[in-house]
This record gives sequence, structure tokens and C-alpha cells, in this order.
Amino acid sequence: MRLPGLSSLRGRMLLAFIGLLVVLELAVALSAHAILHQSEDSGGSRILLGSLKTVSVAFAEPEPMRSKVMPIALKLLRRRARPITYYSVYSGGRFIAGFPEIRPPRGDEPRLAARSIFGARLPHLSEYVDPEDNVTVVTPAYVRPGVFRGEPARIATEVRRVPGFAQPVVIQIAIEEAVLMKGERESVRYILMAVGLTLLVGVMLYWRATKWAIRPFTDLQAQLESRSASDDFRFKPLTAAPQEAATFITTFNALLAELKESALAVRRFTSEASHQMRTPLAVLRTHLDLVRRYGLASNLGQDGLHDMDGAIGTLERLLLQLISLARAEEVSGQAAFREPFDLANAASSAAADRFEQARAHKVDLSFEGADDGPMISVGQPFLARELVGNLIDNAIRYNRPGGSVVVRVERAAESCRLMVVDDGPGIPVEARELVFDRFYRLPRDAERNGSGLGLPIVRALAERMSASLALEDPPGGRGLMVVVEFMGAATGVGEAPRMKDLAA
Amino acid sequence: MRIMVVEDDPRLARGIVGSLKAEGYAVDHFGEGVDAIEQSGCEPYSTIILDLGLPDVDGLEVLRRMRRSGCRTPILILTARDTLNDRVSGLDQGADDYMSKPFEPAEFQARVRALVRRGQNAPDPILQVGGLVLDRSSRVATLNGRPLALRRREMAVLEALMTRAGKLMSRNRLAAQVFDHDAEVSPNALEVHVGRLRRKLQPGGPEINTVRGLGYILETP
Repeated sequence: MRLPGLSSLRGRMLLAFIGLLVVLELAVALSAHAILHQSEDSGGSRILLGSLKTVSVAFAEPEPMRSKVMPIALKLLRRRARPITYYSVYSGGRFIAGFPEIRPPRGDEPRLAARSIFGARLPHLSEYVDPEDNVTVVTPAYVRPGVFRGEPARIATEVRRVPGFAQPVVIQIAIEEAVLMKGERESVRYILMAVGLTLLVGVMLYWRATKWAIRPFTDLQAQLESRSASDDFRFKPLTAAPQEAATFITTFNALLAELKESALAVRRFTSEASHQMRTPLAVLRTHLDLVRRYGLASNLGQDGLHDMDGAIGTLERLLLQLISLARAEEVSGQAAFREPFDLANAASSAAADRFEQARAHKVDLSFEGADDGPMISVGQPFLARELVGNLIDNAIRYNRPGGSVVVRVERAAESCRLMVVDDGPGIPVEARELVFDRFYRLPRDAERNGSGLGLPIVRALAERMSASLALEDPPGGRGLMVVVEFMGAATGVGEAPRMKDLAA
Repeated sequence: MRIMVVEDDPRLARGIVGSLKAEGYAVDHFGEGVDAIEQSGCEPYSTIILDLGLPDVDGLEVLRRMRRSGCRTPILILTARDTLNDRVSGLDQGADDYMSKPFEPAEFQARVRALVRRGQNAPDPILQVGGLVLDRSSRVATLNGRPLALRRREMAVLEALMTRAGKLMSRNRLAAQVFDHDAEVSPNALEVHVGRLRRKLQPGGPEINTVRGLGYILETP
């Protein structure tokens, strides 16, 4: 079960503190009670013994003194804070004075152990003998638990010889436990009150203290709340922040930096994309204006129509390629696509898709595959087909009429290789890295429809499938050969993508 | 009036050049910055239209080098870059005006006309010599309230002569303002245009007098 207060840091701290405080207070209260009980207990016995001695000494006086002193002694005892009124005097089993219910002891009753709570023997509590009258004492005064009129009581006993009595005289006094320990009950009440009060004050002070303790955290929170809507927000350096939040802060700051980076990348991309759309739009506007003013039949109108068609083609292709790129990069950050698929099948399907396009451009498109069945490699069949399709599209688009495009798949030692070879104009060596930049176009292709996104898409797709990509000169020397190397099924399937791949 | 267009996108260049020529300007187009820098000092251009995204030299660098070499022609930057920063730095590098793509063709034409006027230090679009009035914005010429039917080149010759009314206009300078590199010019083409225009200004208009061996001068009789 989850306590509602536990979602609050201060609540948790307070709860832990209350638990600790209660245990401590309980321990203090219990030991205080034990000490108090001990002191009340031994104090009670001591009072009892003292009282007994008073009565005993008074009774030991010879007559007529005894008859005078006894009432005074009894009266004194009755006037104490804890009045003692019950006594008895027996001699050899014969009742002499006081309350006959207080019978003389048989001798085998347990005596009160006069020991402290730590086990030490307490002096003056048991078998206490006044050195001045020890001559006549037979059994020194002691205390034993007993019952008086049905109530638990404490009885003190002394046996002594008294002039005028043949048998030893047993002098006893009794007091109910309830009366004797009345003080203890009161003290326990005070202890409980003190415990309650300290708990209350402690909790109140601690609640304020927690506010001070978590202030570094509330400061962090304030930093967050006060942040303006900028990407540049970072938590201030760690000197001001609590150590416990160090990981949180560094991670959070790193996350913010990452977010800013990707937001920047997106912004760069959209600005580039919109930049690419401006020129064809300007072409459309300018020529539309000319057509409107000089008519379709005029030379300007005819040229304009042609150029508008081209501009629309550029826009169309740009849009399609943007969608394609978005789709290829959608999965970035997730696990790469690594499932077994038939590369020969994917490549030949892609080539078949482009057959009509090749014929329209008067380009000879052919496929050379392995004849010995499927070529299982690692990747994803639809992505691979799109990749090959983009390469073939480039090879046709930038080729010349009468040119040729060959799509070839072959097995290597631990990989499967796809090659798209054309005999078109090729790409100069110095531009072979540039063509992978988004929107980069070779200056010579300015007149052709193109978005500058085809090869970036191919690279993104290859990365998704952990395939390598290279632009090379074809064996004949003329044109371009694109080589994509897929992992063979035996080497890569099932291998979990490593952190490096995911971060890339 | 002769205008230089520096733009690497061939389709857009065709559109701009076509519409400027239709307005009566002589237009030279350059797809690369280096050629444009070279030519900017050779011909009496009234305005230069400059794209920033050029394949060889960045447009701003082209602008700087033109200004450094003493080119005083008004320059209009026409580009897809349209952040505030781009506009400010374009103007600060020495451009006179800045338009971002895509643009309204009518506004583009008006800005070109304004820059041409500024280059001639003649901000009033109406030129007047005696009873002859040329409205350069609407491109209508009237003689004593009667509209003149002028061809494209005749209009160009008239505008060039009227901006220097009463002063000698050398033959070469006039030719350079009226014909661009692409124009197929026969040796006496200019004389033909001037002769036709001279006839259309009579009776009642200013006279175009030939100064033998030197050029022409437009004068009220």
C-alpha cells in the first residue's frame, strides 16, 4: 500500500522522524518508569520499615511508658503522606493489640527482594537492625508481600523480646500496595504528558527544519519555473545544488543539450527544405506573370510553360523525397532493422519497378543475380527495396539516352553485395562525399529535376540496416558504381544492436 | 537601360530575363559570379539583380568585390535566404535593395524601375522635354498630350536620350544602354532606331540632332 503523504519528500522525512522519535521517547519513558518504580518501591519499603521500627521501639518500652508512647507513635504514623493505620502485635500466637487480620508469619513466606533494578543489594531494606536496640531484636525487620482485607498489601515484620512477655513478640504493620504506590501512578501520568509534549514540539520544529533542509531542491524547482522559453536553459553549476541532485542535474542538463541539438537539426532541415522550395516557386510566379501578360502563344509564354512544368516537377520530387527521408529517419534511435531477407529478390523487384522509367529515358536496365537461390542477408526487405530503387532512379535520371544501368547482387565472404553500375556522367571524386549532404546538387545538374535528397535517403536507409555504402569507379572507367554491402545472415542476425549503433 | 541578372537557376533566369526584356530593358544573364564581377565594370548597367546562392562564389562575396572595384550601379539582391540576418548583412555589404524568393513579379518590376531611377539620380518617374513626356513607370510617352506608338528599342533610346536632355550622348554609350550581349545588332541598327524615333517626334516635339562622329543630342528647337 502507498501512503498518500509518501509522495512528498518532506512527508517522508517527517514520517521517518516521527518513527524514530516515538521509539526514542518510548525508550526514555520506559527507563524513566523503571527507575521511578524502583525508587518508589524501595522508598515505600523503607518508609514501611521505618514506621515498623517506630511502633516496635514504642512497644518495647516497659509499662506504663508503653501505654503512653504507643498511641503517640500510631498517631504519628497515621499523619504521614501515606498513612499507616494497620498494625498487629502477637506474642507466641496470642493476639495482643492492633488488627488481628495481620497474622504473624509462619516463617516460610517469600520476602521482598531488596535489590535495585541493576541487581545490586540495597542496604537498610532487609533485616535492618538499629545498632542501639539490637540486643532485644530476635528477627530484624523485613518486608514481605501479603494480603490485607482482600487487597494486595505489603507487610513489615519484626520479632523482639519485650519485658513482660515470655514468648517473643511479633510486631507487624501493613499498607495496601495501592496506597503505597499512589505517587508512582501520578509520576507515570507526568511522564506520559512529557512524552506527548516533546513529540508535538519535536514534530513541529522538525517540519520547519525539513523546509530548510530541502531548500536546495526548492531552489532547483524555482530555476525550472523561472526559465524563459529558451532552449538555453541549464541548471546552474553544481556548487549551489545538493550533492544528491548531482546526477539528476548533469543528466537533465545533458538531456536539454541533446534536445536543443536535435531541435536545431530539425530547424536547419526545415529551413533548408523551405529554401529549396523558394526558387521553383519564384520560377512559377515569374513565368505565370509572363504568360498572363503576353499570352500562351508568345515565345515568352511557350518558354514559360516549359519552365513551369520543370519547376512543378522539382517541387513534386522534393516533396516525395522529403517524405521518403522522413520515413527512413523516423526510426532513428530505435533498434536497427536486422532481420534476414532475400537481397536478390528485393533488388530484382526494385529493378522491375523501374523498368518503365528506364525505357522512357531510353536507358537499358538489367539485373544480374546469383542463380543459386535466395541470397539471405541482414536488413529489412522493404527498406532494401526502397534503397535499391533510389539508386536505380539516380542511375537512370542522370544517364544519357542509350546508356545502361546494371543491378548486380553477389555473395562475398561474410556479406552480400549489391552493385548499381551505370555508364552515365559519374560523380567527380572530390564531390563523392558532398553528394550525401542534403540538398547538395552537382552544378551540372541544375537543369534537371532533382531534390538533392536521393543519396542522403540511400545513406539513411543503409545505416538503418547496418549496411555499408561506397561510390566507386566502375571497372569500365565510365559512369558510377554504387556498392552496398549487407551483412550475411550468418554473421549478423540476432546480434543485439550495440550502444554505439544506437547512438549513431 | 541595361540590366545584369546573376542567377544560377536557369529556369528562373529565363523568367526574369524574359520579363525584363519585355519591359524594354537590355538584359545580360550570368550563371556564375566570376563572370558577373568581370562584366560589371565593362558595361553601363542601370541595375544588377544578384542571387546569393551561386555555384562558384557566394553572392555576398560577388557583391563585395563589385563594390570594391568601384561599381556604383544599384544592386538588388534576389535570394531564397530570407532571415533578418541575411537581409541586414546583404544591405550592409552594399546592396541597395533586397527581395526574397518567391516574389511578386509586379513588385519586382517596380523595384527594378526605382533602382534604375536612383542610379540615374532622377527620382521622378516622369521625364519631360518640352511637349514630350515619358512616364517611366507605365512606359507611356506622349507628345503634346497625344500618345506615341513606340517600339521596345525606340522606347529605350528615348529614355536614354531624355535622361540626358540637352547634353551630348555618345553613340557607344547609347548603344551599350540599348543593346545587350545577346542582341543581334547590325552595324547601323542604332541609326535605324534613332531615325524612326526622330520621325515620330515630329511635328511639335524636340529634335534629335546628330553630332557627327560623336553621338546624339536631344534638344527643344
